[in-house]
Amino acid sequence: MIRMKIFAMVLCVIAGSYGCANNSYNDGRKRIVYNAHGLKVITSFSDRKQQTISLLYGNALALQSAKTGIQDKGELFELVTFKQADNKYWYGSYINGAVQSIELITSYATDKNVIAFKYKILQGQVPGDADARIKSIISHRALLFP
Amino acid sequence: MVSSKKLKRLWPIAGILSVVIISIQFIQVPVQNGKTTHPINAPEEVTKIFRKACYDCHSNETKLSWYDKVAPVSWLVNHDVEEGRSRFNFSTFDTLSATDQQVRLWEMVNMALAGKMPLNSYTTLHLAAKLTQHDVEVLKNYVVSISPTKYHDSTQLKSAEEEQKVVGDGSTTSKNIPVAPNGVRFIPDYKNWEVISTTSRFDNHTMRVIYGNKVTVNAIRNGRIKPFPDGAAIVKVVYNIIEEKNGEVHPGAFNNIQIMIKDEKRFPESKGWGFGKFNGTGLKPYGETAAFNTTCYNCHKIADETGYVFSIPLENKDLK
Repeated sequence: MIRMKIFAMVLCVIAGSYGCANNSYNDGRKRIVYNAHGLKVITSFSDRKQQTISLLYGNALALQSAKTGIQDKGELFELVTFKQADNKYWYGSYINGAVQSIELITSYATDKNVIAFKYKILQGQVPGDADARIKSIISHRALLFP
Repeated sequence: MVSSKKLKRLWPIAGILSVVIISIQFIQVPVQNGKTTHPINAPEEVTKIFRKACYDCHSNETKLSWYDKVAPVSWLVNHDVEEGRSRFNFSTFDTLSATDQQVRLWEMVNMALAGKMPLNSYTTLHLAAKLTQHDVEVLKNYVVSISPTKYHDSTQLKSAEEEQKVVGDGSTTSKNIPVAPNGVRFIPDYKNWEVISTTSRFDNHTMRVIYGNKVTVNAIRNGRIKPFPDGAAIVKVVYNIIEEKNGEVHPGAFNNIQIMIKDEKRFPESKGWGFGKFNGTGLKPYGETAAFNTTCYNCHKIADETGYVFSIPLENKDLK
């Protein structure tokens, strides 16, 4: 009986350590597809000096305002800035690497029915104050998606 | 020691083998060299590298060693030279448009970087054809030099501006679904898929927003990309770029849409991938015949480690 218990314990330890080793291997080999929770891409841009590459997502209202330039309440913008990485299989191309920062902007109507914006950094650090960031982010025009 | 009896038995076999080896020498005509009419126009240090590593298969100036002329080795050589010349030929390279030359040259460099070219089977017997690190650097610098950046390009700015007016009108939806010559259809629904990556390129001065359908995204998240499952589809939306001296790169006008769909039964000769390219806002299908699929696949072979897809997210271990 005791032998059985020891055997079971040894088996658990082996299985556990194998599981750990296996997990760390798998985690390193895993690839993350950024989850934008259903938001649509408005545009993408990059900065070769800062070595960043960005995707600006938005809800339907944000996408609409990025097309027309007319702001409305209820818009949601999410700017994801990635570190720029070399594309392993194509010299001549950069690709998005690790997420560096995530910024969120929402629009609402004030008492006087003027459209105003709230700004929040969800991840990382971004230079520039909130007003400058809002102005910059909402100024992007939508890409053409035929 | 081999007994004389055994030797006697071996004689007929050796005789038959000799007859066979001699006979097969007449089966195929050895590689013929044509004329060099429009040779590649590049600096000497670059052409020197091409001559030593590529010319035997990719030009009309194939130099054969004696063993290259002996069947069955000559059959393999014939096949490689025929295939090589059909992809691109340095002896007639200057007949290609400047853009096509650029595309080919970047492909060459990437084939070399991936260790796919020159072929291992070739360099094993032709040691001098192996590329050194210095050779690769020379080639990398050369392709960058022929693809210069035009900062704040007024032509790009103007076409992007004009396109914005059309976006404002909201009149960009196409009613008829274009189809590529290999049967790959344009997929308007890509806009509702997830974005798998975005790329910014200094080879052809474009950028891409790359979408994957559910099958693709699940395959990437679960590490099942070698091979990608049937039903996977990828849409790359390509834009020109406007590059500024301060490093900023903004999207310019829309350029084309490229599609990859995975269907093992329909596209068995390209590892199951069917390619499509639709140019301009009119989404004009690229390619005269279905044969363009092979051209796409040949280049995508570089990315065999990632299921023949170039731009999937990096592995976590490579995120810095």
